[in-house]
Amino acid sequence: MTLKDSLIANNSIALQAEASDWQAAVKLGTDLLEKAGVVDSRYYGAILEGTAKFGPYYLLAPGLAMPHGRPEEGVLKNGFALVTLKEPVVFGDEDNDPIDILITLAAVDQESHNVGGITQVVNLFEDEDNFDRLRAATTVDEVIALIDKAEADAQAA
Amino acid sequence: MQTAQVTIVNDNGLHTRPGQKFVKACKQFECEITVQKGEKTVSGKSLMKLMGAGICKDDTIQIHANGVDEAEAITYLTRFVAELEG
Repeated sequence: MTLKDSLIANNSIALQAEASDWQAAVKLGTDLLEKAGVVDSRYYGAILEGTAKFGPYYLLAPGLAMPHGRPEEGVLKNGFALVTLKEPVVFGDEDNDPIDILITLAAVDQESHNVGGITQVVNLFEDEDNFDRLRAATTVDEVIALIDKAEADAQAA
Repeated sequence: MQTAQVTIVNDNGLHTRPGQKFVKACKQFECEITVQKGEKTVSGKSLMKLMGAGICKDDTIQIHANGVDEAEAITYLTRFVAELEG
């Protein structure tokens, strides 16, 4: 499932959302996935436990987090949620804080995780202006248009 | 510039948890560090770019280092990848 199709099918985009801390920010994404039947209630707790154990291992770039747990930690099917925050939160990683874009990933196996999900996320941010475009987006249509353009650019490259 | 060729031994390759450790290791060095898999070359200091390269177990990669501490970087990172777990 592509990033775009997943976000549309699961209705899992929240823009300019509010979160008081990083835990609340992660929960916004996992709640969207739980509501869509992509993960069960264990997933959020698993991500918090993983973070306590390993640190915030899923901060991909300044401003951008991709919270996720392991397939066996409550993943029911592959899916993404995309959350942007009105005010950024801090995860405790000086290289990437503060974070205001979260793409929560759920993958049923390592293969889907490695190949399917991440390439599309990387493509979306290949154009660095897309960080700010995404932060500014207020409608789902704007987000989908950004993803469409990024995929088209990736295919043309 | 110095280059080393290494084979990925850990189960998850250079993805999230181990990938992040590798990026942190690269950031200790001042020199420019890139990782090459096949025709694709990405910065070793960006987890996002590194994950975009899709480096998995048993892949052979080249690590390139260019700058003042390139020799130390290559020695350290070659060993780091060989001993990576997770």
